[in-house]
Amino acid sequence: MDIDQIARLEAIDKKLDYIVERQQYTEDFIREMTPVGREAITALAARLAVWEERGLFAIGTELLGLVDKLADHYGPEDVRELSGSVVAILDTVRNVTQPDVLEFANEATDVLHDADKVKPVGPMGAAAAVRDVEVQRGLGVALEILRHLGRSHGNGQKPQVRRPTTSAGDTVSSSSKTSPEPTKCPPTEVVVWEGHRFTADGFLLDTAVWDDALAIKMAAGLGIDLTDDHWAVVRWARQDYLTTGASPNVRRMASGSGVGIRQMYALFPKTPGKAAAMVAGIPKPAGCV
Amino acid sequence: MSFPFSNPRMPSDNAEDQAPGTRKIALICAKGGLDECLPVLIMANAARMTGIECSVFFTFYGLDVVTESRVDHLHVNFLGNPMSPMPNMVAGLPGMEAVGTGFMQRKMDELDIPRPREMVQMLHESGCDLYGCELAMKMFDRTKEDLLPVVQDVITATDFFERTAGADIIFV
Repeated sequence: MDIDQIARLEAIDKKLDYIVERQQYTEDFIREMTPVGREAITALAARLAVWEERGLFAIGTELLGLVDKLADHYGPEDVRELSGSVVAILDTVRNVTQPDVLEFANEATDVLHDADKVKPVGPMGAAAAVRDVEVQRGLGVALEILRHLGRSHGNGQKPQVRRPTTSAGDTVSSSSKTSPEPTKCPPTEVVVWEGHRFTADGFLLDTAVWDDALAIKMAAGLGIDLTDDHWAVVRWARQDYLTTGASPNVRRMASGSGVGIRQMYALFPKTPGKAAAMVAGIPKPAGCV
Repeated sequence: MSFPFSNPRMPSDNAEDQAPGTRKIALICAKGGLDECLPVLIMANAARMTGIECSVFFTFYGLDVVTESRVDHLHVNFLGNPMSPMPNMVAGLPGMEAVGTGFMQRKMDELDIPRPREMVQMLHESGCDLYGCELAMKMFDRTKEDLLPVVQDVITATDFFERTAGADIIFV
């Protein structure tokens, strides 16, 4: 027996001591805990009996069955895929739980509850119902949903879905982003005058640089001396452009600013819509009414 | 340097050939369907907004557009119109005219196009001359009192051509 083996035996001896000691502790513990444990088990049994009575175990068993079914139908790769679409799922849940959607669902269930009171409708009745504005709106919504379905399944393209904006700040920033200068018809030529950029036919490109002094200068160039009525039209047109994102036409300017069409032609001779928009520093009005 | 943009600015750069304010058009409105008179009214209004002098002559069924009792009841007729979205077999059924009219009026409201009465009023206020046809008035037994007050005068076709001398004539 060499020293090495002796050392190992000693180590084992120590471990044995330790184990025996633990064993003793355990026995003591069991001895002490037995009465307590018995009580606890009795109580637990009673509680279990109550649960059993309430059918909790039946539910549990069914749930286990459900898990089995899930496991049968979905493999690990499905779960991996799921993790990828968690965001989409949460998005959908958030959309579905928007107050207006929930309210709609509530109303729909109300209608279903009273379904037996609804009279049957034949082809003529359906044709008559289509004249109802609310039915028309409903049809429109249904058609839009169908269109989205078709788009998403027809050519594999993702339909463009408008998400509800989370805060008021978002909408303000997005609208202020879209309002300056329309991008659909880019001017071919830029003219610089008084340090500002204009389109070839004289409309200010960056509406934000507009101020009263510039308006007076532009109006003077057009041969117009700005009066209070002019300012009323110009300010209203500018405000309308900033809120709607489109330059108002003559009719809107006339009724919005309250000067009337006849006066519009007197204030801004020849081309009232163009001239007023020009002086207001907003793009050329589109449309022909 | 003064503002380098004229008002109005004409598409042609040749000032002599199209000096601002000298362009004139004369529109003749001879049909009274909602879809048939609207182009006239819109073109006339667009002309005024572009600084073009404009006169409109309402004759035959076009007279309805400036007749007080008829202007709010102009209809759209799909029947016999090869471009209509409705087959003639269907368009001939009773009530289809009302359907077509309702459809067009809704569309106009959507696009914020005013109804004929307001359009005619707008034309008048924008300085467009509106005339009724004397012969058509006799034919439909109407008097000047039956027409909207915005109609400047009831004249004959020859008078109209004389008053609009130099204008481009457009018959709709």
